[in-house]
Amino acid sequence: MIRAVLVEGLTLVGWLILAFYLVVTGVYVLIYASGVVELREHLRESRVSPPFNRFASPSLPTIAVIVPAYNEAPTIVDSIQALTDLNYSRKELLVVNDGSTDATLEELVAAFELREIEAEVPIDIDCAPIEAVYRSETIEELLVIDKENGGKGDALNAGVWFTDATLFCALDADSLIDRDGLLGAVEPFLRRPDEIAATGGSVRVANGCEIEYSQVKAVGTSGSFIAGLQEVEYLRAFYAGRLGYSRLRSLLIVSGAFGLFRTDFVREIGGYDTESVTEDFDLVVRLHRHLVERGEEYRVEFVPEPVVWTQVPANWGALDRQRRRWYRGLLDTLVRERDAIGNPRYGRIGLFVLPAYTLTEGLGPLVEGAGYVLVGLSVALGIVDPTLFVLFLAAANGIGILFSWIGVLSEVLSFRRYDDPADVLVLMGHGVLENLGYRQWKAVIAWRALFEYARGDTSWGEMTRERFTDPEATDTDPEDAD
Amino acid sequence: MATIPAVPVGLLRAALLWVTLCVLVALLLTAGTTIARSVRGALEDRRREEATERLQPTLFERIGHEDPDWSTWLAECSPTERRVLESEVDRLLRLFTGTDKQQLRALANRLELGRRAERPFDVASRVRRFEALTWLALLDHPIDVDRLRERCSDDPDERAAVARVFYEREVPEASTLGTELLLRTGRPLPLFGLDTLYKLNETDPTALLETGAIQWNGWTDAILAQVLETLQYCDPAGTDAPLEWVFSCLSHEAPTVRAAAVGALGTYAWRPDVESRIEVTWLVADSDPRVRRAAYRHLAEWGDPADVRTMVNAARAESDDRALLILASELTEGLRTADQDLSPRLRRCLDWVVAERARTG
Repeated sequence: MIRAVLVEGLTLVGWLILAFYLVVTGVYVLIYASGVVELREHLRESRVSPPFNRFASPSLPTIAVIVPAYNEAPTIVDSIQALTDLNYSRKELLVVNDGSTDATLEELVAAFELREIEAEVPIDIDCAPIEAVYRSETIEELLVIDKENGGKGDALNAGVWFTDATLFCALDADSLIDRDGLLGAVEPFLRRPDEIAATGGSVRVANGCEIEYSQVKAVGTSGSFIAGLQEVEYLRAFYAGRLGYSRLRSLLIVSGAFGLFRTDFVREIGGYDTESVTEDFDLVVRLHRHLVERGEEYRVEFVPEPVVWTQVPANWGALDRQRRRWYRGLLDTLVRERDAIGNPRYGRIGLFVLPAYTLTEGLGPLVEGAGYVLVGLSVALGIVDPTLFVLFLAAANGIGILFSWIGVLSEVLSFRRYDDPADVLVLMGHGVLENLGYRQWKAVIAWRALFEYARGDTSWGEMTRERFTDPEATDTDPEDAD
Repeated sequence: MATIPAVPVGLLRAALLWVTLCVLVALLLTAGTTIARSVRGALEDRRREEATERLQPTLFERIGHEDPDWSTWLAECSPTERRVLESEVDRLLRLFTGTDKQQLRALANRLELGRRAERPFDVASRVRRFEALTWLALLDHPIDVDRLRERCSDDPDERAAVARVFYEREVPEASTLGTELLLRTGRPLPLFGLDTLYKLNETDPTALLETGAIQWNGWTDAILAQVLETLQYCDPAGTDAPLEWVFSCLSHEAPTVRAAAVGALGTYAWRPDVESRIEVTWLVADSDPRVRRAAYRHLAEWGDPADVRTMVNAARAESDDRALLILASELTEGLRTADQDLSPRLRRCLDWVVAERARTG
């Protein structure tokens, strides 16, 4: 009797998992196909550049580049140096030192000859108390806000309310931006000034790249296996995933490492949520809701090139902490915005995007993890034919590898930053391993993060950084610890 | 419990086998295409880099010659070298002026780039049309002004490109024709269009003011604000240019339009006839902070002592910190010398501005 119930139950679960897998794969196929179409159109459109000098135009919007920095002493000078070289004529650089306990501020003061503005900040800013504001003697557009620690969202809010710029770019302090990065990200705002609410730039892995004078000079794959897996993961996520969502006018994530926003819109929604551990995702979801509720015709677009380069975790411990934080943040935002999921009032955001994210990013890894256990049990109990199970795994992982390779193919057909065919082969190899081991590991991570979320864990974890320009440097510091 | 319907294992196995095979084929195709395109791209890149290194010094040297003899040089160039030259010409034509630009245009003619500019509206592709119009603006290929005006679509990018051709090619009445063309659309202008509108009216915005006088009531708020903002950047027009409609925009329902109108009138506020008609008291009491900020930014400089007094008094009730900061920045010296009755918040702004200026010297 018990066996009969178990068999019946496992069979039902098996069918449900299969149905879930088919729906999720269908969503992915739609998004990735849309991504390919969008990339093709982007390349065609960007072939011709209008015959005028943007930088001389009086209507060019000013952009505040806001860089929240917490214990970034090893990388901060390189990162800010890269920003001063940005190919954009109307920018201000706002570094927000979020109560660092290392020498972040001292490094900045020494490198850029900062001088304190000896007066109280005359604008009311809703953030942790501001200790001082500094301006550089050598780089006129550089300003540093030194404040008490309040977390990344709080630091970003300090910049958002301090600046007078029309647009602001949120940029991670541990990232390097291409010289044309800002110009690329602002392009949609220049083409459709009345419609664009935010743009997200592409983020790639810097670990294997050759860096010179705070710029990526040669792009290559990393010698680290873990970083290598993330290289292909980032390519797939940005060049297939986000491009596809952008094509469907459904982009829900603008990476915290590189995003450009209309300052007034972000102020209207109260800025970043200081409680969220994935403040970037949370912000864009709330921005969508706000603009839909106001009845605005708006777009959030993804810009595939140029890019920001970031150091990714190169050991399992750091990667594990980062991914658990990402997953907890995702769950937190989805739970908080649950009334919009499936709600026709929010149009495509309510009826397609949020349900799609909930299924693919939220439930996907959990169902996958549960599936391995339950279907494995079914095979052991003789409920599922082993050949069927093997064939299903082969097809499912094959489709996963295909998705990863589409990310690599998109890169080869478009921007070709990995210009050495040997690197492309390495990426493809990592594309295989991403689906045969790494994805399953992420399913386990998702379950752990779910339990942490249920316990109310809101920690950021720690990560070590190294200087971009000096591979021999060993001074590392914890980052992002709340 | 209801029994789950059984599906024949054989059928499922066959279906999965087929799916797996299809995936395998797709993987092989993707892998082959990826590797082949990567190798081909690497080879092409290398050839282009070598050609660019070879050609650039000769190109610059010949541009400096009175007779560069492009034909002889081009006869020796390979197809790859010609492609490299085409992109160099495209890049440099946007940077060079005067004789150098003329030399490049001659090279472009020898490369037959003008062909790409022929009949821009005979191609269906929007990108190709835009490309043709871009070449028309860059080269000295003959243009048919009437045809360009008639065939131009409502696409703001395309209208901007045609107006740019009029500006770059110094067409007679370019200012009037281009302005009319740019503003005959219901959609806001992209930056390219805005810049072209500015260039067409930069030294004399009479055409823009006249077009506004006739059409402003029909424009959307976004376009109206864009036109008024452009006027703010242009030199002042002559005294007979129509400004009445700009005054009317001061009481427009949209705050963005009111703020832009303040900016536009700020360009003319040095004229006593304009200054006397601007009601500063009314503007600094506007319900929207953007309008008040614009008033402080654009009118503080031109106001008579009574206007300045009005602004300082209004600042006592000003709820917007940024507006106060602008006022402190615009009237720094005046406020420092007579600062006994400043509100605490305005004083805080003034202290900030003074401290910033002390740092920058």
